[in-house]
Amino acid sequence: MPTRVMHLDVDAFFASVEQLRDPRLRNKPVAVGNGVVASPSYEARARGVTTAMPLHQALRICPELIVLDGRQEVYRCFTEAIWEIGRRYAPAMETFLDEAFADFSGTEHVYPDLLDLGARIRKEVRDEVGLPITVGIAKNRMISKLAAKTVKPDGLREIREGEEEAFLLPLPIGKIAGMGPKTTELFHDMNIRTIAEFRTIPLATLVAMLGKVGASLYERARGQDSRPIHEREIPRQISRETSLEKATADRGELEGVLFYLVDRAIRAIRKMGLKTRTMRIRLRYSDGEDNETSLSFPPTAFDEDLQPLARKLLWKLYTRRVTVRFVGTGFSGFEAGDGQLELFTDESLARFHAAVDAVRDKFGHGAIVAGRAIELLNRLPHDAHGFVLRTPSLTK
Amino acid sequence: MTEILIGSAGWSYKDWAGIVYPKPLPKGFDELAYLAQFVDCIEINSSFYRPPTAAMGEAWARRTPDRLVFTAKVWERLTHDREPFSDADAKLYLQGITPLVRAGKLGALLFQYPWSFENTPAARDRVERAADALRGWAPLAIELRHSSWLNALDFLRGLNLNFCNIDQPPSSTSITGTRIVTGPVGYVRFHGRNAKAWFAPSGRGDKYDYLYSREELRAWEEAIREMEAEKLFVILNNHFQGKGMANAFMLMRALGKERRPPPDTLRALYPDVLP
Repeated sequence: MPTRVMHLDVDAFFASVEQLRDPRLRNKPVAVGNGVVASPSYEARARGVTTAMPLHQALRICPELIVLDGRQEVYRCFTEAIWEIGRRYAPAMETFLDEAFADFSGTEHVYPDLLDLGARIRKEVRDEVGLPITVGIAKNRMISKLAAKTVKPDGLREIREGEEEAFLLPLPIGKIAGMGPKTTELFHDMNIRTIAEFRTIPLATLVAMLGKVGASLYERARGQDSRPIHEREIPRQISRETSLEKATADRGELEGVLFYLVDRAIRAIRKMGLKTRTMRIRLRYSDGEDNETSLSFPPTAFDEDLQPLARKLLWKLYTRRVTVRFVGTGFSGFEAGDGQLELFTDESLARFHAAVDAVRDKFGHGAIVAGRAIELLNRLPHDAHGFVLRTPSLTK
Repeated sequence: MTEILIGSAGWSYKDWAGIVYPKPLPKGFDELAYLAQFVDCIEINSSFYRPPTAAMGEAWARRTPDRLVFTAKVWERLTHDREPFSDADAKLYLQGITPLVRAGKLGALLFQYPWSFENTPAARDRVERAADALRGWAPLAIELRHSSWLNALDFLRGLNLNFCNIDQPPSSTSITGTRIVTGPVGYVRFHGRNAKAWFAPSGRGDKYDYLYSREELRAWEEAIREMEAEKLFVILNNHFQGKGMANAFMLMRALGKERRPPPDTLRALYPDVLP
């Protein structure tokens, strides 16, 4: 269990990179996104543009907004440069696209003052990479991340041993790692709004309401978060693709295949404890023409968020009266999920996901298939591992 | 939307007794804690004259509510002295600032340069060196009064220095009334427009003896709403007899940010602007 954690968070990441690379964009309201705002610059924020806002709304409130498509590979280069600076000091780091956790447990003799180190790292990142980062320091992941959130942008903060209670108690319950919007609503209905109020609920009650999730929220509300920080390979992309046995122009069938592929990819993403921010769809027509398009969105690991977006992308892409013989989807722009708990946006939905995953683990992916993918059950052969796809695809 | 924080430059003024503060002051009265009830932010001015100690920094953090944000003037050793400052000087200054940073209560460090400090290569080197010494601890803001710096905004942006706009009596060489934003933190300081005292060698108190009228503040209200910063500090430095605080309340009311009604003693002295 870590005892000294530093959270590093790049401020307005995508927009900051774009403004750094193109001086003409500096001091202008910029938003990176496609369909919705994935990353607004501070100038755009000042005008009321927020992350997850639909772009048409953003343009209404800020007509001068400059909208750019995301460029994951470019952003990745910048963060790798930032995390390299962190690695000069941190024995272990867990890195994502625009945030990282550094574990300094046991380094008291080398780095007695993590606040001083945090300032040094912030300076070096600004000097060498040109990007602003905010740093939060505390005894575990959850509190270090919360500390950083309170002082963004361009901030630095440390919650010392013994200060956790005073810091956490007044915070709204939505700040508890793993407390999703629908669970938050549930407690708001019970007039529980702050962590102090949430802590009046006994453990037995939380478990009865939410099962294992309830037990974890109980601990997290008390500032306990034993999730380790470890180096791990975060893939650049997780994709699933297939050739179709028989090329088709049937909209229902194409949607079904796509939803199935999205389903499989997002399950892999959830299993890795990640959320994704970019989806790419690819089609190959029977005459060999290849088309692809992508979309950025606020971080998510939910099918319910992604299926409507996948549908939208598919119909944007599929514009020819020619049959399709290949469908593919890929996800990138990963960031830390807040652990499995983050998936549970409401009790029934949470149990549904947990149950589906458990059944799939036991009986194979084809055992339960959601939504439009059910149509495929009648059209494609399947075995214990799910539908038989023409070409297996690999996580890149 | 922009987070607008309105507050006072300093809090320890003898002439505030009976105006901003009660008179007589009750035993153990804490001026800082009292003032913090009314404002979003407080600019620490004493740090310009001498580096605060860690104990002072800790006390400031402890005596104010969690939501209260400080900005702090940088020690004049780093900005005004001809003799270049040392790393030890910067470290000494940071010792007092660190407790505020740790507590998440330092919104900006303000470098203030004299009105005569012109934009020259040597001056830019000095600015760069000073910024470098404190970079990483908090957003850095800079108050440059000489008009030649208006040609150096890209230079300031390049150093991630947030421009501090001022309102002071107009002069041919001084910057005043600008609404410039060069980073995510915006800053405006109101010094008052007492031109007679400003340009004459009179007592300090007179220099800041000015009460902005409603009309004068109305123009600023609009500017404050339009400045494109993520956080905007609005500091009233026309502290003479609490006039800055009266103006602070006027701005808070106009922008819908009044936390509590002004003290009765302040309203009694300025009934026209604080009905």
